[in-house]
Amino acid sequence: MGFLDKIFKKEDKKEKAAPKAEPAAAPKAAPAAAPKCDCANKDVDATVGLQAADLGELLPGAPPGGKIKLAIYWAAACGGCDVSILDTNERILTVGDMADIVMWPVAADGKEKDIEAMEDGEITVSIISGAVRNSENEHMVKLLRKKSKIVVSYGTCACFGGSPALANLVSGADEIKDYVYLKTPTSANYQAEYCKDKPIIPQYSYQAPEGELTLPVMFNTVKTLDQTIDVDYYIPGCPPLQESISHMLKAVADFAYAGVALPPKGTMIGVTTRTLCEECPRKKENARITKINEPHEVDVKPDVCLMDQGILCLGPATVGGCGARCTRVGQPCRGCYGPTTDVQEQGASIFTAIASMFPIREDDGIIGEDEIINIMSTIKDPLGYFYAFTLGKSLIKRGVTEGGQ
Amino acid sequence: MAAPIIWDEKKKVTEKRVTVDPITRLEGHGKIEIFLDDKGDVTNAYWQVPELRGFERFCIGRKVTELNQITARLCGVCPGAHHLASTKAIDGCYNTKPTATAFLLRDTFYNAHFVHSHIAHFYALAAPDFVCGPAAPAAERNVLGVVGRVGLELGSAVLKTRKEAQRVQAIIGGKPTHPVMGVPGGVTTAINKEQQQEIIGYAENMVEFSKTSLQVFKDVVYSNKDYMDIVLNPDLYYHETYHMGLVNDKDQFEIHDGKVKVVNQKGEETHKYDPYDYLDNIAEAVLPWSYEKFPYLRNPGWKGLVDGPESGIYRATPLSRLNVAKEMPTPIAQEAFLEYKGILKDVGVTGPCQHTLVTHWARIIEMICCAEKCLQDAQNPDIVNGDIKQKDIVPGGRGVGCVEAPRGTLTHDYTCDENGIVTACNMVVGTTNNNPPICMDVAKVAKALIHNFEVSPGLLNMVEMAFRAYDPCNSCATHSLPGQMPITAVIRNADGSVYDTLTR
Repeated sequence: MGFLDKIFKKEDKKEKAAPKAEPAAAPKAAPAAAPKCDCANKDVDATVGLQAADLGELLPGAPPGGKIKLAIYWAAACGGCDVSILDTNERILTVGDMADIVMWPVAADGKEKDIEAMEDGEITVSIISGAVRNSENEHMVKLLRKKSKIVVSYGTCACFGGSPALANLVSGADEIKDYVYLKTPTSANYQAEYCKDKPIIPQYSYQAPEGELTLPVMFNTVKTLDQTIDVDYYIPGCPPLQESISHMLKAVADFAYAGVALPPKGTMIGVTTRTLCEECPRKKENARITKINEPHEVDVKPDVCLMDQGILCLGPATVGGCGARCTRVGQPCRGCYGPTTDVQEQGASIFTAIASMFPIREDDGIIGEDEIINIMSTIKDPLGYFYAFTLGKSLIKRGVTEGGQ
Repeated sequence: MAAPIIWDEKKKVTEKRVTVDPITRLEGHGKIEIFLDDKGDVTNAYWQVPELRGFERFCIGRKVTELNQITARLCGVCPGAHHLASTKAIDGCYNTKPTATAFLLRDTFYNAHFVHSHIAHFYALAAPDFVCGPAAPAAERNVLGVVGRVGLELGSAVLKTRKEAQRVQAIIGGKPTHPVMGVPGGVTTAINKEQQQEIIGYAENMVEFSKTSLQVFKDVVYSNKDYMDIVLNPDLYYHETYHMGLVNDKDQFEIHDGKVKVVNQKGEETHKYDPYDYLDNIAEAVLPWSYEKFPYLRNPGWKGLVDGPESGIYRATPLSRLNVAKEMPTPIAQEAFLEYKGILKDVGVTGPCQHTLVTHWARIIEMICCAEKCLQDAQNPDIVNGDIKQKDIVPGGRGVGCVEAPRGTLTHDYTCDENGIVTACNMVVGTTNNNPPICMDVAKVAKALIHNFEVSPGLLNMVEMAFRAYDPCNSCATHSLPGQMPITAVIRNADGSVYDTLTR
């Protein structure tokens, strides 16, 4: 039970503590739903980053209450999340002891039709990666929600929109299709040479000589999973690292084998309560920034905070848990684990952090407003950079072009 | 030659349409619609890719230096290929090249990426077909079945070598999935001698392991006559297309930095161009029924989904790379290459090999070559030199980055302004090159296996084998444990109700 205290942190720290769940008899059946978020975690020690959960001799045969049912699905994703699950190597092989995998497009059988035939709530856990980009994504995640007791939003695209949500800076699906199929030079050459009078763009419904062919409808806005369906737990990361995944596996296994209560609804699994900076090995000198640098422009000192070297790093605005893989090799954090839990706007949060690093303290000497503006104006594409992974979840819903569109 | 019967149980179809829904993806799920005529023979089959995310459009307005992070998210299975092609395009936008040490580090990283990808493909995905046989029950046709046949020792070696190849990528790139090392003119971090020794140890193992893999292939394929009959059957996985791949200045096999070479159906060189000139040489057709594009050679041009010298359809696969390369640049791979060519010649293949399933063999020879190159790079004393970045470079202009992805020639083309903001972006992705031949293979297999409204369950296996040879990201998926692509064919009655469902 102790692992829960270390691993899970809640979305809302203000709520009151509830009694710790004691290991109970193995459940006869899966839970009715994720428990309500009515407890707080205490004594969270997260100063050194997230350690992997000790999975040990994890799965001694089938759970006493019978196997649970597990579905793993991808919406608009790159497949990296699925690879991350597979990268658990030997451990993933033992999941079969605990669960019947009723759907996993990457690795196992199980079709939409089979899912449709199930009772509502028959699937114990659905792990869904990817953003919601088109009608097919939406249909499948709604179906899985209906059939599942617990839905886990897995990976950055599902949690915050991820890279695909950068498309929300564009006016909509038509503009994207227009560019991809008519304006990119390889396609423009084809259209000019073969379809001069009537350019071809993929159609949602097309009458082929032999019959109708359909394609899913592309939405104008990329949505997160929890903007589309109710979500019980979140595991961010692009992709989530083994440490993060191990905590999810342990929580599910402890529940299935020992009846340990699941964490409260809304819990972010596999993250710390602090920012990335707390687990970054670079030393912070709290230097004042007067020039913004890109990593290739300077000889990056190996042990010094990247921000102190003028390199824009999203570490101060990003929740810990990844072990600072990128900053260790000299690249700033792009924020793929998302904001800390008290914050919704990761981009606004990093802006504040950066502003505080300008020479603005009383003992810094005088710096004029013009000079600050000059420094700030060297930050290119701040929207795309500071919201590289979280635009889908941001209050900023769309880029606005000059002229008021 | 009649189509081989995989399983001879037949199902009668009562409608003129068969939908095969394989639920795996390139960008979205793949779907196949097969249409039948009045006699119940196949009139046409469509392979559809039903998703678009629109990276080319939303990369516009971004900082060009961010594109090797953003575009890696095109594919989580081969992010290393996108990261490197993108980094090379960014080099171009800064009008620079990597330092010698940075080039070595990128090359080490990328060869390890290839080894990892090819191991996963061969053992998890392809091997069940030859080790267990195409007619083996589905329950045996997976990686566990392979381990059962070849022994646990090899099984553990597979896991170990794949893990170590991932580790090499993590040392240089920070993390294996969505690496971060590339910057214009270099890489972000140097490696020390200790890390060099670690990589050398892994690379030595990779070389040994790939030699073993070749032996496994030879032992199981040559001894499996059923499989060889399918491999060499011209009525199935066979198309007379052009072939594309990178070559170095000695006309040898290359994956990282070279010229694009194309050979025709006779094996003659028809194109050899600098990647910057790709627009003069290839274009991408758009068809109304798929979100995925259809690349072709502008000379001879787009003639629809047909093969032959008049059609610009080409393939870009391991098979293609070995068709265009004169030789391999490393000794063990060269030996394997000569043996490969000799054996193909003995079965009558004198020009380029057009038998799709031979791709698996070509892939193993590539694995050997990449392991050897990874070791050569790691042993180079310059790799620990700290000179990892170009100095004093500024953005502004166009850059084209081209590499061989494990699944085909990959091109990124960016233009940025003097602030480093992207103003144009185009990408021709590895698997996309092979979209037209995959469509043709699917239709050909459907036509061979469906007659008189009778659908053999073997259809599902055979269609799956067509994808697998290309290792498209549609099946990136299948780099995984059960090693088989889930496919269901829903056979409907005329009123749309389900008559029968075939699943494997």
